[in-house]
Amino acid sequence: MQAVLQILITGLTLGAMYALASVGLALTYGTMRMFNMAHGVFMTVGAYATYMAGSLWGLPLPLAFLFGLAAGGLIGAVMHLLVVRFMLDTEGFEVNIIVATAGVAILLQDLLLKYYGAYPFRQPAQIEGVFRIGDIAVTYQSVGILVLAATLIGGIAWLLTHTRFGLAIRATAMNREAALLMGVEAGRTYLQVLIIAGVLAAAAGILISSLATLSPDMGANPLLRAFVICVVAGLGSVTGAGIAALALGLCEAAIQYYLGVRYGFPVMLLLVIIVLIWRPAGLFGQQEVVRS
Amino acid sequence: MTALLTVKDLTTGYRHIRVLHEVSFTVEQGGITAIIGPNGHGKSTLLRALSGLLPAWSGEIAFDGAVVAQGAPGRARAGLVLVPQGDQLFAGMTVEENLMMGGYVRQDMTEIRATLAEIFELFPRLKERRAQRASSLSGGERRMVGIGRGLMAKAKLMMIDEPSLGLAPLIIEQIYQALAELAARGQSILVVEENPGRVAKVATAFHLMDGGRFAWSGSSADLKQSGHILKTYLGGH
Repeated sequence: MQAVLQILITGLTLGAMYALASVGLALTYGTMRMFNMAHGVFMTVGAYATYMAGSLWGLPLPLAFLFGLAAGGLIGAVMHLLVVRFMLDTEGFEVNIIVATAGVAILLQDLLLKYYGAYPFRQPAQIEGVFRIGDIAVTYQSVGILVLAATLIGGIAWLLTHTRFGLAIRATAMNREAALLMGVEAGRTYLQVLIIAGVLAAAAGILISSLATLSPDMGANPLLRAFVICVVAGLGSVTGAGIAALALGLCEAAIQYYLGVRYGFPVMLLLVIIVLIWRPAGLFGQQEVVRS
Repeated sequence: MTALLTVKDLTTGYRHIRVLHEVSFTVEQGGITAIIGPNGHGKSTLLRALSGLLPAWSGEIAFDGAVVAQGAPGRARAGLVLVPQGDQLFAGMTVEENLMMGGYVRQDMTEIRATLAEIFELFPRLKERRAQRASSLSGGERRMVGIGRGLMAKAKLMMIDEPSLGLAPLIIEQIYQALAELAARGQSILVVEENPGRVAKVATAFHLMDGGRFAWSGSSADLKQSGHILKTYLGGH
């Protein structure tokens, strides 16, 4: 019982952060057929922006958090307006955009390195304190992470299903040409998608760095995990990415509990390989049907 | 009657292959206009060019008294709406969400709801299936959603690419009855069909497309007179 509870708490905290990190990536791929290599750096930018606002400017924590989210959204918008916009609808987009966004990622990461150095700053977004359920110690920090992640993901899910602009985003993802015929300006939809992805990535970055420290390359590992989660879920499946993130978080927590922390990620990758042999298109993906 | 759509010397194609050669024609306000002719001669290309999905190489398109906007979204807002071939529904959305997407160009929610009610009256099947995913519908139901989605935009001219494609004769009959009813209420419709058989009974103006040009144009009375012309192009009927 104690073990189950411990795994549940650790797993859900991990899963919530993974979900935040991967839902935006899945949304970007689903709507634009774009694998955004800069998604990890969006996380880093959000984390540093919160650090800057909270530790250097001394803003209160909620404001610093919101500032981090805004920075993530802004960087998404800027990347769309300066880079992605000009590459859409060109030949070889799906491959070229990987190279281009990887370039943006390297540039931003090096700018952060130049400006802040490689010193592992402490993220000010901390909630101190511990409470106990039976023998298990639960930090307020992990409760905070769960609540924030659930609120943000729930909010985005509501936007996508209950608003006009959310409906337009989903329509563009499902059938771009039909969406154009309905009067949806694809360019504006893509901008909105990258802003949403940027905000979610920033949130993930802030939460992840609150458990570790800041560093200019802190986005690389979560990006890898988010990518793995998206592949397992089926590329482009947003709901699938959320579910797969929680499932993999719980798995990793269980493996860490029974086998040791260092086995968490390798065993998770093994599970992923097994899933992909069984379902090459991912758990929630649809095998693409090519029609003439 | 006034011309709703005026096309002058429209030329376009894909990459370096020219498909349409200086096509000129007009569509009058009200009634059903049919473009018929064998497959692979540019009928669908013409509709794609009119909808803005395919840029014109040269020529002019005037709609509702103004030069049309570039690109599909602008033309949809102007009321020039294409119901594409093979429906192109949003597969993961429900029937109702698909229809609501059709009304994306409109703002007034009460009016949009009123149009939705009209469509459910025209196609009662869609009302029964309103919460069902589009991917789970039958071919006929999909066509109804496709047409309903076009109607939701309150199109001034609704262009439909092959409404009978892939459907059983009984369903084709239902679809055409619905189109005739819409035309009777004053909706202007431009239909593309390979086979003039069914559309000949409801359309008032006809254009025969052959090799990217109009080979023959006329009214339904003319069509009866020149049956032999059609026979040359279509073989039978």
